[in-house]
Amino acid sequence: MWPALALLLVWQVFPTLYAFYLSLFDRVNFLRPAAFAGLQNYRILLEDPLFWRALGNTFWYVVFTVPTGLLLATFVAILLNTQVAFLGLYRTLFFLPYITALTAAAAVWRWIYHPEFGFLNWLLHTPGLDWLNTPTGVFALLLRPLGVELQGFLAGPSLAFVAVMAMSVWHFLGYQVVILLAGLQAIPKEYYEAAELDGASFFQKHRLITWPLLSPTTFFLFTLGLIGAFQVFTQVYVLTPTGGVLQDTLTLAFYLYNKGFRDSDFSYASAIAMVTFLVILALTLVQRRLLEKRVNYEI
Amino acid sequence: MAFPFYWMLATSFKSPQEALQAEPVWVPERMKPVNWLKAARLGDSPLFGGLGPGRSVALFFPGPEAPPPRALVPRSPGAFFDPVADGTRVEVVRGEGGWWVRLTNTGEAGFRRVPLVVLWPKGVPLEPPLPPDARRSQGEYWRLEWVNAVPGALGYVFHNYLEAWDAAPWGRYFFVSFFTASVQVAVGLFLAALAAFALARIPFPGKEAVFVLVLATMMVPGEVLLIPNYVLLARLGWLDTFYALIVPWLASVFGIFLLRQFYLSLPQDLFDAARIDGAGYLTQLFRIALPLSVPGLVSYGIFTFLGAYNALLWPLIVTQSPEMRTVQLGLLAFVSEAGSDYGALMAASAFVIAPVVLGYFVAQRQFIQGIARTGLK
Repeated sequence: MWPALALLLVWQVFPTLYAFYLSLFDRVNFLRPAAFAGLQNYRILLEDPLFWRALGNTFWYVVFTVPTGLLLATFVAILLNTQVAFLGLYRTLFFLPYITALTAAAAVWRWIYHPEFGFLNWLLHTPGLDWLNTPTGVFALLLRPLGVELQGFLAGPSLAFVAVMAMSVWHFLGYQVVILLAGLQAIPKEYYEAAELDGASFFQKHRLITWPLLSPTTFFLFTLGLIGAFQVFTQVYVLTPTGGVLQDTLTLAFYLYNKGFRDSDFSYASAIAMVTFLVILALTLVQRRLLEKRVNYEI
Repeated sequence: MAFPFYWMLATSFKSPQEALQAEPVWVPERMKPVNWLKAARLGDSPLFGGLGPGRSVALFFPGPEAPPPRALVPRSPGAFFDPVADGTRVEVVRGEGGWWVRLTNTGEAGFRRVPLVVLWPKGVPLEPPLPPDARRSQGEYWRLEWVNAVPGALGYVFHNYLEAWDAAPWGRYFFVSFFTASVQVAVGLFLAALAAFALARIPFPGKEAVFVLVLATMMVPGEVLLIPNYVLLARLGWLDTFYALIVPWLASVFGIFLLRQFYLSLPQDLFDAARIDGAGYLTQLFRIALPLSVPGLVSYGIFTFLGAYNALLWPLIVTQSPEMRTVQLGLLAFVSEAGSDYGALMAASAFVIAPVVLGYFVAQRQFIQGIARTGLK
């Protein structure tokens, strides 16, 4: 076991500490020795509008994709679990996007979102709508006809970012469906038979049996989705390589990449990484506190 | 769910003019079998086409005697010297009930592609030997364009695929990706098996501490590791090498946990019996534990392979030279280079995802169960 442990130490345990160490310096790159700067990077970070923008965008990404994905996946999994015919075919349909490389999938979606010749604009009769270059927030777009003008964070994620989210939900749905199906199949059939004898409706059965008994799986997927959503990079980078108009699709991972590998400021990028880590850690702990009590581990 | 896949495939068979239609083209000309037969008649080989030295090909356009059409082989724009345009003789001859456009290779070498433009008078009904890839208006004429007048069936259907494949060293990209992914799977499995066995079955001092340490690394998001690992690789001088692509990902906490669960579920009696027969830990691992945990190994293998093959961010950071590009990086570069050639772009996307999708159809059960198993922690 020692080789594996040594590798873990060198490439995962040590780097975590090293990242923190790096973040304490003034602009680490390979050109010159860096000066120790204490917590200066963090101080700059807290006043950096782009960082807040990235954090806000990532927040919207989590809020939009994680619950939507889970709800859709639960719905699909329940449907697939009841309908026996062509199960394999449907499962394949939902699963294929997940094993497809994000880069290729994003390239295809970029083509679907194309402002002039994209399929989506033809479908929705919105010729010329440039999905990936529209920085207006969706809440602002939706409420404008009602005479409500929203600004800043309240305007919601930009239309471009929502387009990225739709693609992400499409990509990850299959994974969640497969895991949920496995969870559904572990629920004993007797419960449903008993419920049917008592005259329970479809809705009642799933609310009172499926939902509680599936909660460990849902909870697992929720945690995983949360952690994954905070690190979203690939689809954003392929769909909007520059971070969108006015940086409206900038995410934390994207900002980290920009700072570290475009601007060669490794210490500032490390500070971003550490803050992201803390946010994820805090959120995981909070959701554990709040939700785990309601998770039913016994079948 | 399946629509983006269909749209990718349909676009990958479209000519540029078909791709850039306001009204979507559901079944492009190159997907219609009747056109495959037409294309098979054009060119030296029915499958691959081509025009060898001294060979000629004739295309028949039914039509009245007057006005006559005109034909030419267009020069590639901006080229100082164009062997195909210079080495091809174009004749337009009147035949029975129509016009023959005859292309003859007068050069020394064979041509794989011979583009053709025919100016067809407006108002005359048109029945081309092969649907043109583009049709534009030019004064009194329709300007009909073919990207290749000697395609053969495969050359016609897979034109965009050939274009995309020739545009970049995809062979090298695929080698890099497959090599990286395979080594990660093979070595990763071996290391994870050893570590998991030690954690599950061998008592040793400090085991609890090691276990907690391994668990703790699971909490660290991959994002945090990017910068320090990059700096470390730079210090080692490993940037832009296979080491950089492979080594940091060899040990996987996920794999160790997955296999540990499997080993823990095996009855202790098996190992006790082996020990009485004089088997050491390694023998126990390789003769008993590994054969019984094949599903776990498959699950981890598939997950690691997918992760390595589909990765973009890490290879993007640690490689620079085109020789070290993975297919995903190649595709990313192609996305920015291809411009509006969406047919070629979709063709490239299609062959990038093809290996994984084929693997899925070959080993569907293993894929689904392997992924489902990752949820049972």
